[in-house]
Amino acid sequence: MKKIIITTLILLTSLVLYLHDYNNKPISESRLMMDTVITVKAWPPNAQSAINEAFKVFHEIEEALSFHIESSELSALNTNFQATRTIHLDNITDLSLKYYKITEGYFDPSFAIVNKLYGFYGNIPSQLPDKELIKDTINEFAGLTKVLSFDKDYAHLKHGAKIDFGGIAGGYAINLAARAMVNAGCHTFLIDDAGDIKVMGTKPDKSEWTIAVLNPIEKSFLATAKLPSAMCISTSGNYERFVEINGIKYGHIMNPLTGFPAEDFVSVSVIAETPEEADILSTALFAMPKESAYKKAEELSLAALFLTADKKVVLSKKGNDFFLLNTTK
Amino acid sequence: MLKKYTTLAMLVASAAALQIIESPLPRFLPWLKPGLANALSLYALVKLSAAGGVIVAIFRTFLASLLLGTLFSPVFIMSFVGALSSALLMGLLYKAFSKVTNEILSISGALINNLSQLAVIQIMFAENINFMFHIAIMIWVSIPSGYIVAKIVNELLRRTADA
Amino acid sequence: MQKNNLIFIITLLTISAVAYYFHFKSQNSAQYEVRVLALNKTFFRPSSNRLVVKGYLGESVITWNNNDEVRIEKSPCPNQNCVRMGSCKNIPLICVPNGIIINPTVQNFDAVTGQ
Repeated sequence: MKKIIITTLILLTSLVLYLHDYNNKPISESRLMMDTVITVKAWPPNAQSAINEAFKVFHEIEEALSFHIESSELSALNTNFQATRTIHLDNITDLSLKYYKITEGYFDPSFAIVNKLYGFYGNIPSQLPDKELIKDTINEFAGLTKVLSFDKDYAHLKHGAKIDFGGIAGGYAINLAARAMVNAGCHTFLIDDAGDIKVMGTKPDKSEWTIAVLNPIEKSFLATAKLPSAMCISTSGNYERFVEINGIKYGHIMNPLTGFPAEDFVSVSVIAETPEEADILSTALFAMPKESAYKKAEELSLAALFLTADKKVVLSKKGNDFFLLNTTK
Repeated sequence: MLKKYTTLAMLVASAAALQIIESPLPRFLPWLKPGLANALSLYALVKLSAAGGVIVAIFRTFLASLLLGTLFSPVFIMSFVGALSSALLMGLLYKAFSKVTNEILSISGALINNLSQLAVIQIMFAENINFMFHIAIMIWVSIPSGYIVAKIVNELLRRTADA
Repeated sequence: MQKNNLIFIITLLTISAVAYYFHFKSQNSAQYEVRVLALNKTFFRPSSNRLVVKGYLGESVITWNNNDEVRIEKSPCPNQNCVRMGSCKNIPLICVPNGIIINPTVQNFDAVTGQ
């Protein structure tokens, strides 16, 4: 009897001691910014200060590159068709031009002018915009290399054109925020800008970073993505932002060749080394017709997961290494 | 020999009846039930043999499911696995420890019954269920229910001591 | 009560207390994500707070209220145990006949994309 009591006591004490590690818990913070919810999760050390630094960066990028904030550098460019070259504006136009070429024009920030015809920036029309009008607008104002030019101090935009960096500003901000967090002395964190996610470091329990990929329409669970440190994943789809004209929903990602919302996919997820790349390429692949999207994914050897409009799940060759499909019987 | 079979058949029949009576009773959690049918497995184990307990467990789940119309459905698989593992564990304990009491047998039987049903859910649905919570709750439920079952078995054994 | 029985029961109660402590601890530290499993397909809480899933027998209706409590509102199962269990927050609701599990698990994912 004595022995039993003593053993139990020893076991209980060691258990209590074992349970007493309360460090290493992550801090998570979400804020409403850049028209979406941004979540930053960080593990000690320096978690809180790093999170503050990260949100500072997001705020700075929002001030500089938001389409909606009137004092932003981008709004200056869009209204005056001329803006002083700043670091952020330069960086983001460089990136945009680079990926405009890589994606053969499927990623095009200047396509905002066509989105405007559909009413994405207010004043939703009662009728679909005229096909001829769309065609003329594309010929006249779309194509980033065509409408954007630089001289020593200024960036110039063709009169009447519009640029929206919505498809890249988030990724760009994540990249800068991640750097700020590392500089603040935090080495394990996750930044999530509405499904554009970057992970960094190794969690204290050494478990792999696991991201769930959802079917955005029925909210069922498509796959998990295992991300190595410093990798990024992004999902694009037309389910979140759309306009309704005559009872029909039109998504915000357009096929730049037709000027009509892309409709081959429900969503496209891309894993890449930088958040910009993941962000841009998932949007660009979404905009493409099926065959060119698959071809492009292999050409760039991307890890990509496609959910097609007819509910099929397609993985790129490299996607097999990262995505674990939730197979249904 | 014939008497043994008759006893077994009777035990199976009454165990199945108990299980059927139990099934529509409301429960707090799907796998928490009084487990009265288990009493007859325990009785068969003590009165006849370890094999007798297992036989009662197997046949009574088949019979009860057949009558309830749930044969080979997930409900059947759960009750089958639960009853079988509980009978097996009780048999093992009975053989291994000479001093084991009916209360201990019955409580551990009830516990393993619940745990194996939870494990079946885990396997069937491949879903990670919060085990810690369930173990805690199951122990709390198994102790009184197992204790009552043991008392019933003791009473049964006393009354049939000369049979 | 026999001594052996008493020791056995006390041991079990200790295990139970420890298990509950673990549960309590994990609940305090982890975020809970309610997931609905139907026929090996996982669903997440939709913004409409109402989910209709197909099980072995037919369609089950699952609803959430403003307190994040979830319940099975309608089920085709014969015994209706799952419906009678009412609203729950931290314990799983399971409808075995229809093959539906509503499981508040410790979040298995670090984040979700495509929401």
